[in-house]
Amino acid sequence: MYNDIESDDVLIERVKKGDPEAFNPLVERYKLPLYKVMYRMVYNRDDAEDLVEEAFIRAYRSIKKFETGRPFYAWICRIAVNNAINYLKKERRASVQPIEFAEHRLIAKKGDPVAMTRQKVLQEKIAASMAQLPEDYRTILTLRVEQGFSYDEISAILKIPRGTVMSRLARARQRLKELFKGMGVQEHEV
Amino acid sequence: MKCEVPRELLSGYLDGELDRKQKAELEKHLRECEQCRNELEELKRLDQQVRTSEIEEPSRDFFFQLNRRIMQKVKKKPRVSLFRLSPILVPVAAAALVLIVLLNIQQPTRLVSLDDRILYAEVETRKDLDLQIPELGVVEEIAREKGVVPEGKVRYRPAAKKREVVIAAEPPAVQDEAVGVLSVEALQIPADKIVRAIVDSTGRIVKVATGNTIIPEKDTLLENKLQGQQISPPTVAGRRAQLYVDFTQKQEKK
Repeated sequence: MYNDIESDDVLIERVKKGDPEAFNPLVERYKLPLYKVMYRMVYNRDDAEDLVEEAFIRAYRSIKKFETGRPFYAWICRIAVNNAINYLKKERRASVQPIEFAEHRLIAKKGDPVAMTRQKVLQEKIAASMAQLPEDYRTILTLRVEQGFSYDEISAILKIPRGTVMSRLARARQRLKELFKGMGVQEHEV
Repeated sequence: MKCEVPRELLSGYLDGELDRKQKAELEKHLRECEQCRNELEELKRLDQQVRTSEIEEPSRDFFFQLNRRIMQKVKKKPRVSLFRLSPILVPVAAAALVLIVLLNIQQPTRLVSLDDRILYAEVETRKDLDLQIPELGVVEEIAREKGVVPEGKVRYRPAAKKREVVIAAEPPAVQDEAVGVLSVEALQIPADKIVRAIVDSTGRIVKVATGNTIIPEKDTLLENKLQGQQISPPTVAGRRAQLYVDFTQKQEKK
Protein backbone atom coordinates (compact mmCIF):
# COMPACT_ATOMS: atom_id res chain seq x y z
CA MET A 1 0.00 0.00 0.00
CA TYR A 2 1.08 3.53 -0.67
CA ASN A 3 0.00 6.62 1.14
CA ASP A 4 0.02 10.32 0.52
CA ILE A 5 3.12 10.84 2.60
CA GLU A 6 5.46 9.15 0.19
CA SER A 7 7.19 11.64 -2.04
CA ASP A 8 6.96 11.64 -5.80
CA ASP A 9 10.59 10.57 -6.03
CA VAL A 10 10.10 7.54 -3.79
CA LEU A 11 7.08 6.43 -5.78
CA ILE A 12 8.82 6.99 -9.11
CA GLU A 13 11.82 4.97 -7.99
CA ARG A 14 9.51 2.09 -7.13
CA VAL A 15 7.81 2.33 -10.49
CA LYS A 16 11.20 2.30 -12.15
CA LYS A 17 12.06 -0.86 -10.24
CA GLY A 18 9.00 -2.61 -11.65
CA ASP A 19 6.20 -1.83 -9.20
CA PRO A 20 3.36 -0.37 -11.33
CA GLU A 21 1.06 0.03 -8.32
CA ALA A 22 3.35 2.78 -7.01
CA PHE A 23 2.12 4.87 -9.92
CA ASN A 24 -1.41 5.03 -8.47
CA PRO A 25 -0.75 7.70 -5.81
CA LEU A 26 0.85 9.87 -8.49
CA VAL A 27 -2.28 9.61 -10.60
CA GLU A 28 -4.41 10.50 -7.58
CA ARG A 29 -2.18 13.42 -6.72
CA TYR A 30 -2.07 15.06 -10.14
CA LYS A 31 -5.11 14.01 -12.11
CA LEU A 32 -7.23 17.00 -11.12
CA PRO A 33 -4.70 19.79 -11.70
CA LEU A 34 -3.83 18.10 -14.99
CA TYR A 35 -7.50 17.90 -15.90
CA LYS A 36 -7.85 21.65 -15.33
CA VAL A 37 -4.99 22.38 -17.71
CA MET A 38 -6.35 19.99 -20.32
CA TYR A 39 -9.86 21.35 -19.98
CA ARG A 40 -8.67 24.91 -20.46
CA MET A 41 -6.92 23.79 -23.61
CA VAL A 42 -9.64 21.72 -25.27
CA TYR A 43 -12.80 22.96 -23.56
CA ASN A 44 -14.43 19.56 -23.63
CA ARG A 45 -14.77 17.29 -20.63
CA ASP A 46 -14.45 13.96 -22.41
CA ASP A 47 -11.47 15.06 -24.45
CA ALA A 48 -9.79 16.55 -21.40
CA GLU A 49 -10.27 13.31 -19.46
CA ASP A 50 -8.89 11.26 -22.34
CA LEU A 51 -5.88 13.55 -22.60
CA VAL A 52 -5.17 13.19 -18.88
CA GLU A 53 -5.34 9.43 -19.14
CA GLU A 54 -3.08 9.42 -22.17
CA ALA A 55 -0.59 11.70 -20.42
CA PHE A 56 -0.32 9.34 -17.44
CA ILE A 57 0.13 6.33 -19.69
CA ARG A 58 2.81 8.10 -21.70
CA ALA A 59 4.52 9.21 -18.52
CA TYR A 60 4.48 5.68 -17.14
CA ARG A 61 5.95 4.25 -20.32
CA SER A 62 8.80 6.74 -20.34
CA ILE A 63 9.28 6.89 -16.57
CA LYS A 64 12.85 5.64 -16.91
CA LYS A 65 13.74 8.86 -18.73
CA PHE A 66 12.52 10.92 -15.79
CA GLU A 67 15.33 12.31 -13.67
CA THR A 68 14.52 11.71 -10.04
CA GLY A 69 14.71 14.92 -8.05
CA ARG A 70 13.07 17.07 -10.68
CA PRO A 71 9.42 18.10 -10.32
CA PHE A 72 7.23 15.28 -11.58
CA TYR A 73 4.19 17.46 -12.12
CA ALA A 74 6.05 19.84 -14.43
CA TRP A 75 7.32 16.83 -16.35
CA ILE A 76 3.92 15.21 -16.79
CA CYS A 77 2.40 18.60 -17.57
CA ARG A 78 4.89 18.98 -20.37
CA ILE A 79 3.89 15.58 -21.74
CA ALA A 80 0.19 16.41 -21.45
CA VAL A 81 0.40 19.91 -22.92
CA ASN A 82 2.42 18.78 -25.92
CA ASN A 83 0.05 15.91 -26.47
CA ALA A 84 -2.90 18.31 -26.28
CA ILE A 85 -1.24 20.74 -28.71
CA ASN A 86 -0.84 17.89 -31.21
CA TYR A 87 -4.41 16.85 -30.57
CA LEU A 88 -5.68 20.37 -31.22
CA LYS A 89 -3.65 20.65 -34.40
CA LYS A 90 -5.12 17.40 -35.58
CA GLU A 91 -8.66 18.06 -34.58
CA ARG A 92 -8.63 21.78 -35.37
CA ARG A 93 -11.16 22.29 -32.66
CA ALA A 94 -9.49 25.01 -30.64
CA SER A 95 -10.73 27.93 -32.71
CA VAL A 96 -14.34 26.83 -32.82
CA GLN A 97 -15.33 25.02 -29.72
CA PRO A 98 -14.49 27.53 -26.97
CA ILE A 99 -16.58 30.19 -28.68
CA GLU A 100 -19.42 27.73 -29.11
CA PHE A 101 -19.00 26.84 -25.47
CA ALA A 102 -19.08 30.46 -24.39
CA GLU A 103 -22.14 31.32 -26.45
CA HIS A 104 -23.91 28.20 -25.31
CA ARG A 105 -23.35 28.94 -21.66
CA LEU A 106 -24.42 32.56 -21.92
CA ILE A 107 -27.52 31.89 -24.01
CA ALA A 108 -28.54 29.06 -21.74
CA LYS A 109 -28.35 31.19 -18.65
CA LYS A 110 -29.74 34.43 -20.05
CA GLY A 111 -33.22 32.97 -20.05
CA ASP A 112 -33.35 32.69 -16.30
CA PRO A 113 -31.57 35.72 -14.80
CA VAL A 114 -33.63 35.87 -11.65
CA ALA A 115 -32.49 32.47 -10.47
CA MET A 116 -28.86 33.35 -10.92
CA THR A 117 -27.01 35.13 -8.23
CA ARG A 118 -24.84 38.06 -9.16
CA GLN A 119 -21.76 36.00 -8.48
CA LYS A 120 -23.01 33.26 -10.77
CA VAL A 121 -23.54 35.66 -13.65
CA LEU A 122 -20.05 36.98 -13.15
CA GLN A 123 -18.65 33.44 -13.22
CA GLU A 124 -20.41 32.76 -16.48
CA LYS A 125 -19.00 35.90 -18.03
CA ILE A 126 -15.49 35.09 -16.88
CA ALA A 127 -15.74 31.53 -18.15
CA ALA A 128 -17.09 32.75 -21.49
CA SER A 129 -14.26 35.28 -21.81
CA MET A 130 -11.67 32.63 -21.01
CA ALA A 131 -13.20 30.35 -23.59
CA GLN A 132 -12.84 33.02 -26.24
CA LEU A 133 -9.14 33.51 -25.63
CA PRO A 134 -6.87 32.00 -28.27
CA GLU A 135 -5.70 28.55 -27.22
CA ASP A 136 -2.05 29.56 -26.68
CA TYR A 137 -3.12 32.45 -24.42
CA ARG A 138 -5.42 30.20 -22.43
CA THR A 139 -2.72 27.60 -22.03
CA ILE A 140 -0.06 30.00 -20.83
CA LEU A 141 -2.44 31.78 -18.44
CA THR A 142 -3.53 28.47 -16.99
CA LEU A 143 0.04 27.30 -16.53
CA ARG A 144 1.09 30.54 -14.85
CA VAL A 145 -1.92 31.90 -13.02
CA GLU A 146 -3.80 28.74 -12.16
CA GLN A 147 -0.98 26.21 -11.88
CA GLY A 148 1.69 28.58 -10.65
CA PHE A 149 4.53 27.42 -12.89
CA SER A 150 7.55 29.71 -13.14
CA TYR A 151 8.56 31.26 -16.45
CA ASP A 152 11.43 28.78 -16.75
CA GLU A 153 9.10 25.85 -16.20
CA ILE A 154 6.59 27.20 -18.72
CA SER A 155 9.44 27.73 -21.15
CA ALA A 156 10.35 24.05 -20.79
CA ILE A 157 6.77 22.83 -20.98
CA LEU A 158 5.84 24.83 -24.08
CA LYS A 159 9.32 24.68 -25.62
CA ILE A 160 9.47 28.43 -26.12
CA PRO A 161 12.10 30.94 -24.95
CA ARG A 162 11.66 32.59 -21.57
CA GLY A 163 11.26 35.99 -23.25
CA THR A 164 8.37 34.65 -25.29
CA VAL A 165 6.74 33.38 -22.11
CA MET A 166 6.92 36.86 -20.66
CA SER A 167 5.57 38.66 -23.72
CA ARG A 168 2.86 36.07 -24.41
CA LEU A 169 1.62 36.27 -20.84
CA ALA A 170 1.42 40.06 -21.02
CA ARG A 171 -0.50 39.88 -24.30
CA ALA A 172 -2.80 37.17 -22.92
CA ARG A 173 -3.64 39.34 -19.92
CA GLN A 174 -4.32 42.36 -22.11
CA ARG A 175 -6.53 40.31 -24.41
CA LEU A 176 -8.47 38.87 -21.49
CA LYS A 177 -8.93 42.34 -20.08
CA GLU A 178 -10.50 43.43 -23.37
CA LEU A 179 -12.74 40.36 -23.40
CA PHE A 180 -13.86 41.06 -19.84
CA LYS A 181 -14.76 44.59 -20.85
CA GLY A 182 -16.66 43.25 -23.85
CA MET A 183 -18.59 40.91 -21.57
CA GLY A 184 -19.34 43.67 -19.10
CA VAL A 185 -17.18 42.29 -16.31
CA GLN A 186 -16.50 45.24 -14.05
CA GLU A 187 -12.96 45.89 -12.92
CA HIS A 188 -13.88 45.74 -9.26
CA GLU A 189 -15.77 42.49 -9.60
CA VAL A 190 -14.17 39.33 -8.34
CA MET B 1 -1.38 60.57 -21.46
CA LYS B 2 -0.63 56.87 -21.39
CA CYS B 3 2.43 55.68 -19.50
CA GLU B 4 5.17 54.23 -21.72
CA VAL B 5 6.21 51.44 -19.34
CA PRO B 6 5.94 48.14 -21.23
CA ARG B 7 3.02 46.01 -20.08
CA GLU B 8 5.38 43.03 -20.06
CA LEU B 9 7.21 44.55 -17.13
CA LEU B 10 4.03 44.94 -15.10
CA SER B 11 3.01 41.39 -15.97
CA GLY B 12 6.48 40.07 -15.09
CA TYR B 13 6.48 42.05 -11.84
CA LEU B 14 3.15 40.55 -10.88
CA ASP B 15 4.60 37.09 -11.50
CA GLY B 16 7.76 37.86 -9.55
CA GLU B 17 9.88 37.13 -12.61
CA LEU B 18 11.81 40.40 -13.02
CA ASP B 19 15.47 40.52 -12.23
CA ARG B 20 16.63 42.63 -9.31
CA LYS B 21 17.47 45.70 -11.38
CA GLN B 22 14.19 45.65 -13.34
CA LYS B 23 12.24 45.15 -10.16
CA ALA B 24 13.92 48.08 -8.38
CA GLU B 25 13.36 50.39 -11.35
CA LEU B 26 9.72 49.40 -11.70
CA GLU B 27 9.03 49.80 -8.01
CA LYS B 28 10.53 53.28 -8.15
CA HIS B 29 8.28 54.06 -11.13
CA LEU B 30 5.20 52.63 -9.43
CA ARG B 31 5.67 55.00 -6.52
CA GLU B 32 5.41 57.89 -8.96
CA CYS B 33 2.88 56.60 -11.51
CA GLU B 34 -0.73 56.17 -10.47
CA GLN B 35 -1.70 54.83 -13.88
CA CYS B 36 0.70 51.89 -13.57
CA ARG B 37 -0.37 51.24 -10.00
CA ASN B 38 -3.95 51.01 -11.19
CA GLU B 39 -2.95 48.79 -14.06
CA LEU B 40 -1.11 46.47 -11.69
CA GLU B 41 -4.14 46.24 -9.42
CA GLU B 42 -6.27 45.47 -12.41
CA LEU B 43 -3.94 42.66 -13.43
CA LYS B 44 -4.07 41.21 -9.93
CA ARG B 45 -7.88 41.14 -10.08
CA LEU B 46 -7.73 39.61 -13.51
CA ASP B 47 -5.52 36.80 -12.23
CA GLN B 48 -7.92 36.27 -9.37
CA GLN B 49 -10.77 36.00 -11.87
CA VAL B 50 -8.81 33.45 -13.89
CA ARG B 51 -8.17 31.38 -10.78
CA THR B 52 -11.85 31.39 -9.86
CA SER B 53 -13.23 30.84 -13.33
CA GLU B 54 -15.35 27.75 -13.63
CA ILE B 55 -14.63 24.64 -15.56
CA GLU B 56 -16.81 21.64 -16.17
CA GLU B 57 -16.48 19.04 -13.44
CA PRO B 58 -14.85 15.79 -14.47
CA SER B 59 -17.07 12.72 -14.68
CA ARG B 60 -17.56 10.21 -11.86
CA ASP B 61 -15.73 7.74 -14.03
CA PHE B 62 -12.73 10.04 -14.05
CA PHE B 63 -12.73 10.20 -10.28
CA PHE B 64 -13.23 6.52 -9.58
CA GLN B 65 -12.06 4.58 -12.59
CA LEU B 66 -9.09 6.48 -13.99
CA ASN B 67 -6.50 4.69 -11.87
CA ARG B 68 -7.89 1.28 -12.74
CA ARG B 69 -7.95 2.08 -16.47
CA ILE B 70 -4.41 3.42 -16.40
CA MET B 71 -3.20 0.36 -14.48
CA GLN B 72 -4.89 -1.97 -16.94
CA LYS B 73 -3.20 -0.26 -19.84
CA VAL B 74 0.25 0.11 -18.36
CA LYS B 75 0.36 -3.47 -17.15
CA LYS B 76 -0.16 -4.63 -20.69
CA LYS B 77 3.24 -4.79 -22.24
CA PRO B 78 3.35 -2.49 -25.25
CA ARG B 79 3.88 -4.32 -28.46
CA VAL B 80 7.48 -4.05 -29.50
CA SER B 81 7.69 -3.06 -33.06
CA LEU B 82 10.79 -4.12 -34.92
CA PHE B 83 10.79 -0.73 -36.57
CA ARG B 84 11.08 0.95 -33.18
CA LEU B 85 14.01 -1.12 -32.04
CA SER B 86 16.61 0.52 -34.14
CA PRO B 87 16.68 2.75 -37.16
CA ILE B 88 19.39 0.46 -38.52
CA LEU B 89 17.04 -2.47 -38.47
CA VAL B 90 14.69 -0.84 -40.93
CA PRO B 91 16.98 -0.74 -43.96
CA VAL B 92 18.50 -4.10 -42.99
CA ALA B 93 15.06 -5.68 -42.73
CA ALA B 94 13.99 -4.11 -46.01
CA ALA B 95 17.13 -5.39 -47.76
CA ALA B 96 16.63 -8.86 -46.30
CA LEU B 97 13.04 -8.86 -47.46
CA VAL B 98 14.02 -7.91 -50.98
CA LEU B 99 16.68 -10.63 -50.96
CA ILE B 100 14.23 -13.25 -49.77
CA VAL B 101 11.76 -12.22 -52.43
CA LEU B 102 14.41 -12.32 -55.13
CA LEU B 103 15.65 -15.74 -54.01
CA ASN B 104 12.16 -17.08 -53.94
CA ILE B 105 11.13 -15.86 -57.33
CA GLN B 106 10.72 -19.08 -59.17
CA GLN B 107 12.80 -19.52 -62.16
CA PRO B 108 10.74 -20.18 -65.25
CA THR B 109 9.61 -23.70 -64.79
CA ARG B 110 6.36 -23.80 -66.68
CA LEU B 111 6.78 -26.21 -69.43
CA VAL B 112 5.02 -25.65 -72.65
CA SER B 113 2.92 -28.62 -73.34
CA LEU B 114 1.33 -29.75 -76.50
CA ASP B 115 -1.86 -28.08 -75.38
CA ASP B 116 -0.36 -24.63 -75.21
CA ARG B 117 -0.63 -22.01 -77.83
CA ILE B 118 2.21 -19.57 -77.87
CA LEU B 119 2.38 -16.44 -79.86
CA TYR B 120 4.83 -17.40 -82.48
CA ALA B 121 6.30 -13.92 -82.59
CA GLU B 122 7.01 -14.22 -78.90
CA VAL B 123 8.56 -17.61 -78.93
CA GLU B 124 12.02 -16.21 -78.50
CA THR B 125 11.09 -13.36 -76.20
CA ARG B 126 8.98 -15.16 -73.64
CA LYS B 127 11.73 -15.64 -71.11
CA ASP B 128 9.23 -16.48 -68.42
CA LEU B 129 8.47 -19.75 -70.09
CA ASP B 130 10.72 -22.70 -70.08
CA LEU B 131 9.90 -23.68 -73.55
CA GLN B 132 10.24 -27.28 -74.33
CA ILE B 133 9.24 -28.05 -77.78
CA PRO B 134 8.28 -31.60 -78.49
CA GLU B 135 10.79 -34.32 -78.90
CA LEU B 136 12.06 -34.86 -82.35
CA GLY B 137 10.06 -38.06 -82.67
CA VAL B 138 6.81 -36.26 -81.87
CA VAL B 139 7.52 -33.50 -84.33
CA GLU B 140 8.27 -36.01 -87.03
CA GLU B 141 5.11 -37.88 -86.25
CA ILE B 142 2.99 -34.71 -86.41
CA ALA B 143 4.62 -33.71 -89.63
CA ARG B 144 4.05 -37.12 -91.15
CA GLU B 145 0.44 -37.26 -89.98
CA LYS B 146 -0.22 -33.86 -91.47
CA GLY B 147 1.51 -34.89 -94.62
CA VAL B 148 3.61 -31.77 -94.40
CA VAL B 149 6.91 -33.47 -95.08
CA PRO B 150 7.82 -36.93 -96.14
CA GLU B 151 9.52 -39.18 -93.68
CA GLY B 152 13.03 -38.24 -92.77
CA LYS B 153 12.83 -34.75 -94.21
CA VAL B 154 12.10 -32.83 -91.01
CA ARG B 155 15.06 -30.86 -89.77
CA TYR B 156 14.46 -30.16 -86.17
CA ARG B 157 16.97 -28.17 -84.24
CA PRO B 158 16.45 -27.93 -80.49
CA ALA B 159 17.23 -24.66 -78.76
CA ALA B 160 20.90 -23.85 -78.61
CA LYS B 161 20.38 -22.07 -75.34
CA LYS B 162 17.79 -22.68 -72.75
CA ARG B 163 14.59 -20.77 -73.28
CA GLU B 164 15.40 -20.16 -76.89
CA VAL B 165 13.45 -22.01 -79.41
CA VAL B 166 14.24 -22.33 -82.99
CA ILE B 167 11.74 -24.06 -85.11
CA ALA B 168 12.87 -24.69 -88.54
CA ALA B 169 11.73 -27.01 -91.16
CA GLU B 170 12.90 -27.56 -94.62
CA PRO B 171 10.37 -26.68 -97.25
CA PRO B 172 8.11 -29.61 -97.91
CA ALA B 173 9.50 -31.90 -100.44
CA VAL B 174 6.04 -32.37 -101.84
CA GLN B 175 4.57 -28.94 -102.33
CA ASP B 176 0.98 -28.47 -103.09
CA GLU B 177 0.89 -27.25 -106.65
CA ALA B 178 -1.83 -24.66 -106.01
CA VAL B 179 -0.06 -23.22 -103.02
CA GLY B 180 3.31 -23.51 -104.63
CA VAL B 181 2.47 -21.09 -107.38
CA LEU B 182 1.26 -18.46 -105.01
CA SER B 183 3.87 -16.07 -103.85
CA VAL B 184 3.32 -15.18 -100.19
CA GLU B 185 4.94 -11.81 -100.75
CA ALA B 186 2.44 -11.09 -103.52
CA LEU B 187 -0.53 -11.28 -101.19
CA GLN B 188 -2.22 -7.96 -100.74
CA ILE B 189 -2.90 -7.39 -97.07
CA PRO B 190 -4.15 -3.94 -96.07
CA ALA B 191 -1.66 -2.02 -93.99
CA ASP B 192 -4.09 -1.56 -91.09
CA LYS B 193 -4.79 -5.26 -90.84
CA ILE B 194 -3.14 -7.62 -88.47
CA VAL B 195 -2.60 -11.13 -89.63
CA ARG B 196 -2.96 -13.91 -87.13
CA ALA B 197 -1.94 -17.33 -88.19
CA ILE B 198 -1.73 -20.64 -86.45
CA VAL B 199 1.25 -22.66 -87.41
CA ASP B 200 2.13 -26.10 -86.28
CA SER B 201 5.40 -27.15 -84.76
CA THR B 202 6.98 -27.48 -88.14
CA GLY B 203 6.11 -23.90 -89.10
CA ARG B 204 3.28 -24.89 -91.36
CA ILE B 205 0.35 -22.44 -91.49
CA VAL B 206 -2.82 -24.15 -90.36
CA LYS B 207 -5.32 -21.31 -89.98
CA VAL B 208 -5.33 -17.61 -90.80
CA ALA B 209 -7.40 -14.69 -89.63
CA THR B 210 -7.11 -10.97 -90.14
CA GLY B 211 -8.48 -7.88 -88.57
CA ASN B 212 -7.53 -4.88 -86.51
CA THR B 213 -9.19 -5.90 -83.32
CA ILE B 214 -8.32 -8.36 -80.62
CA ILE B 215 -10.67 -10.91 -82.06
CA PRO B 216 -9.80 -11.28 -85.70
CA GLU B 217 -12.09 -12.45 -88.41
CA LYS B 218 -11.55 -15.65 -90.17
CA ASP B 219 -10.20 -14.97 -93.61
CA THR B 220 -11.02 -17.99 -95.70
CA LEU B 221 -9.51 -16.58 -98.85
CA LEU B 222 -6.22 -15.84 -97.18
CA GLU B 223 -6.30 -19.13 -95.33
CA ASN B 224 -6.83 -21.02 -98.55
CA LYS B 225 -3.90 -19.27 -100.07
CA LEU B 226 -1.58 -19.65 -97.10
CA GLN B 227 -2.54 -22.97 -95.58
CA GLY B 228 0.27 -25.39 -95.75
CA GLN B 229 2.91 -22.73 -96.34
CA GLN B 230 6.01 -23.18 -94.30
CA ILE B 231 7.01 -20.00 -92.61
CA SER B 232 10.05 -18.91 -90.66
CA PRO B 233 10.64 -16.23 -89.50
CA PRO B 234 7.14 -15.18 -88.44
CA THR B 235 6.20 -12.81 -91.17
CA VAL B 236 3.48 -13.03 -93.69
CA ALA B 237 3.92 -11.26 -96.98
CA GLY B 238 6.94 -9.55 -95.52
CA ARG B 239 4.98 -8.08 -92.62
CA ARG B 240 5.37 -9.01 -89.01
CA ALA B 241 2.38 -11.03 -88.00
CA GLN B 242 0.90 -12.55 -84.91
CA LEU B 243 1.38 -16.20 -85.40
CA TYR B 244 0.58 -19.01 -83.07
CA VAL B 245 2.49 -22.17 -82.73
CA ASP B 246 -0.21 -24.74 -82.37
CA PHE B 247 0.72 -27.97 -80.72
CA THR B 248 -2.80 -29.25 -80.49
CA GLN B 249 -3.07 -30.69 -83.89
CA LYS B 250 -2.26 -34.18 -82.85
CA GLN B 251 -4.82 -34.19 -80.05
CA GLU B 252 -7.47 -32.67 -82.24
CA LYS B 253 -7.03 -35.51 -84.60
CA LYS B 254 -7.82 -37.91 -81.80
